[in-house]
Amino acid sequence: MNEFLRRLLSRKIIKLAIACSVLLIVWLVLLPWLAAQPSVESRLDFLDQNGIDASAMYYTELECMDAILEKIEGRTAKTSAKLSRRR
Amino acid sequence: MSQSIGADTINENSASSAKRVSDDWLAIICALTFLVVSLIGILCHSDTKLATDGNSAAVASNPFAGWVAKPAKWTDSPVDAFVVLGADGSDWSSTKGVAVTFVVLAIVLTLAISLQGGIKSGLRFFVGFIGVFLLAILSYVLAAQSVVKAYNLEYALWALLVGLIISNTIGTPAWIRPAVLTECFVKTGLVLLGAEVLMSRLLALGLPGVFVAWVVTPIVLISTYWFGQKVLKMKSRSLNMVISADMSVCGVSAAIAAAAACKAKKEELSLAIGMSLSFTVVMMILLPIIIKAMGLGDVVGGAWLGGTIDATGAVAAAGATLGDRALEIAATVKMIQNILIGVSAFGIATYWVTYVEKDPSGDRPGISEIWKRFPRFVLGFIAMSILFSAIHGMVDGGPELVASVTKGATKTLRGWFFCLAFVSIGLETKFSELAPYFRGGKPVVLYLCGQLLNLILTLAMAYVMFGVIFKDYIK
Repeated sequence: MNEFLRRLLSRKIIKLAIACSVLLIVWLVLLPWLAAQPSVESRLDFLDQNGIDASAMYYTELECMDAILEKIEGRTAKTSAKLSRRR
Repeated sequence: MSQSIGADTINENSASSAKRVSDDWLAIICALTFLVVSLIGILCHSDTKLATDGNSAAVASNPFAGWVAKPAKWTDSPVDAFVVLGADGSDWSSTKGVAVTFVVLAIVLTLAISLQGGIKSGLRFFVGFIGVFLLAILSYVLAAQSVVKAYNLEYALWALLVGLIISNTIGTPAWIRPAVLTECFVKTGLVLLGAEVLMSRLLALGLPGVFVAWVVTPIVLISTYWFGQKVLKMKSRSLNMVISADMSVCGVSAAIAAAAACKAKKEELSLAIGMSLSFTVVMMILLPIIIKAMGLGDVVGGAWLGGTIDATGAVAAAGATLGDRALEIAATVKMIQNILIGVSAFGIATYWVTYVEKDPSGDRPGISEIWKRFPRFVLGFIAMSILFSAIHGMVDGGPELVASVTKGATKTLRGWFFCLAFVSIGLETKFSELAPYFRGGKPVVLYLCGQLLNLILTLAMAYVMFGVIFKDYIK
């Protein structure tokens, strides 16, 4: 029984070690290498310059949204002022 | 065993005998605590300054801003997620923010769990919470890699993966289990999200924005759900609803709200989110190319992107590749669609308690029965949305005040709650439990058919509204 448990436990730990190794290789080697490729690097720079977090879940997480809303709300205020002056 | 995300809400009264406070009320109490403390902090800290035009202007600053944080973006080394080494010293603000977030969440949640189930439950929760929070940090670090971020692979996916790895290899340790509280985390996160759902921004683009985001979206949601039930004959109504909401409204956040409102199983939410994120990556890259090839123009193209791509960040990334004007229209249409989350969650919850969970005798429940069954956290979510929309639209300096509350602290806390929820889902799920949902490929067919309808209807509406009827207004 003890032998069985030990074997089972070691199999579990091997599975975890394999999963962790894959994560480590992808995140510490593959992704940094990809980030250094010119096409990917230019895309990352482009997103940074525009204040875009492409992984944003909701509009409040987008840095660029403030500038967009300011622009739109400013334009709306101008239009309303024009309309009221016409009246 | 599969559990539903909103299971407690049905039997709230019977559950209250075992739990002093239901999960729904606990979520409302926790979220309100964070919102009220943040609001009070800002009001005590706010100042009135003279603006350049000589008028006084309210300056709202959140004293808690910077004290709650998540791991920062990194490219080459995950150490950069916690500390930025510079020539003039090291910046430890991310580490400080993560540590403070842990302390705040641990204190508030341990007190809340103690209130619900006694001090022993609270202490057991605290011990387990250390483990769950560490896994959430790992998930955020995986999600913060810049390439991962650039392709819209949100933290929800990595939190799920981290939890799944633990539960499917060594198994979820017994000491962590008391803190695996998916429902509590999801519902608290949703009530906090309510403060970000500002109805006052509905008319940001005038009528054309409303038509694209608020007319097409419900049509697609209802049609896809109907198609899933009547044509595909999906076995699970809740899976059908979560996929329909996820695909038509706004991706992960809508999926979370819909799943909680219709008491979907955790595996169903995981499946819907995995599918949505996969298709979003493809759409984010392909749609701008198609728009250019069709010669649609920035405005119509931007509106099409905003109405169809599931995730908000992906919409902005795709819009920006077409130009500033397309980014502006796409992001704003998506924002208007984001606001639909509150209405859709309320509608789904009402439909569920009224039609799906009706008595076996076939009688429709009366108003008192509907009220009894209605998930309370949805009301908390709607109440926060109405309250903060009113502050935003009606109070002097309201926009600054609301921005300080949400962007200063509660937005980050909401992210942590969702991250903890997805880690918990992963910790409770076995791969073998996910497999049956893929059988027959119906969820993928549902998603593809729904998305096709979404693409056609949104393109037609965007063209008519932005390209013909309101062409001059938008210019």
